[in-house]
Amino acid sequence: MACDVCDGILKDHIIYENNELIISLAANTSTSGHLQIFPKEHLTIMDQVPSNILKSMAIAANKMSMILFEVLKVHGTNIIIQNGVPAGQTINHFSVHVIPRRTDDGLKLDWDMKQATNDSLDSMQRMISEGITLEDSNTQNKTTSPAEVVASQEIRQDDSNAAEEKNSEKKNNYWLKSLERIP
Amino acid sequence: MPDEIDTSNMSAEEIAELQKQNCIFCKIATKQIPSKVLHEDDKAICILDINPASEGHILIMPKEHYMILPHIPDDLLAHMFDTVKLMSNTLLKTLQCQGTSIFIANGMAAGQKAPHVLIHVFPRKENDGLLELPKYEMNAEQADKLKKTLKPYFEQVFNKHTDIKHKKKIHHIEEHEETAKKDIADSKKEHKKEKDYDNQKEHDKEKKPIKHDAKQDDKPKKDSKNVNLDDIAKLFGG
Repeated sequence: MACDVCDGILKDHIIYENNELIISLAANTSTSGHLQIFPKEHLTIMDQVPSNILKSMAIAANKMSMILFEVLKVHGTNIIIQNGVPAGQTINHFSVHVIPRRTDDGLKLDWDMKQATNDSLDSMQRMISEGITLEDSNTQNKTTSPAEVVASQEIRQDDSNAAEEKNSEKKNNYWLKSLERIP
Repeated sequence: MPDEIDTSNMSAEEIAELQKQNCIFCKIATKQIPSKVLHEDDKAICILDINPASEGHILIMPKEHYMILPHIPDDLLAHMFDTVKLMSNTLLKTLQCQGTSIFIANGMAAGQKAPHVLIHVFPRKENDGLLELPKYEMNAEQADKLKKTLKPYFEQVFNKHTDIKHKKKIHHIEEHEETAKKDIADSKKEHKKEKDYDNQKEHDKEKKPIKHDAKQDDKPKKDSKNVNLDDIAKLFGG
């Protein structure tokens, strides 16, 4: 599978690399100093990223922020994850963006806020709370040994049909596929 | 804030306490202000945003009062990102959206509106136009220059100092660069007097600023510690 990160297309942009993470200048820059952090392993969306790697990425993103504060003297940073193509993910490799911000830089990294009605908040609260309980128990039942994570990825990549059959009890399988779709 | 004059005589702890008392999100965390709580544990709480970007917009916040992200200890941040993953997966499955955005604003310039760290997680659908990263053209030369500027700091922070204290260390890099340059200049003079050129070059190579930094960072400099971060935090005015 073609991947800008794994195929080394971003090689010249890399600032720091260890056995877990790659930090580089962003593939598609939003402002000078825009950085991106990737897991070294090919992982497409957040669901696939093992907890320990996601945690290292978060801590690294925070440190990257601080470096930008100190070195580029920026006034703030945005830390953004685009999880899935509809969220704006352009590379099929999971990443965390760290975007330096300066007062009056004119970047629009915001959204129009809506006023939610009490009814809609109530129904959302009900749905999501139930969803969390379900998801939480699923996560805890899953063994998260790195070997199994790797194995599950191999299944996804090499033999997606067989994997689908195997996971047929996973009723929400389709959303994973839609997320992994490449633009 | 009206109590700005009072704070000038207050200790950092007292100011922090005052900010904590006035923080809406701390009151939400302690349930003094009602909210739509989705999930909570001893460290973090997840609520629905009453001004959502899209239906199902979740705010994850630490129960403890932290104004900006760099103030948060690593283990708490790590814990919060476990929650982020849980929330994101829940949204994807429960609301059957096609993607999620995770957004943190760090400082007012970045659009941070409340003096309490918040992580936004909200559902995305194709062409919803909610959070698009703008494009900025950077030529190869600029990129190269930026890379060269940042690289030594990354090497230092990620290779040597894994704990949060590195903030102080980075802060001094620049003055050390100055001293290092001076040292190099001085040593050059000496070398010219008595040694040959090759030796001098070797010496220059060894005198990279970072080495100086590592040597000197034990010096207590309370005042200059975290200057930039606190400036960013102070923008909220308590």
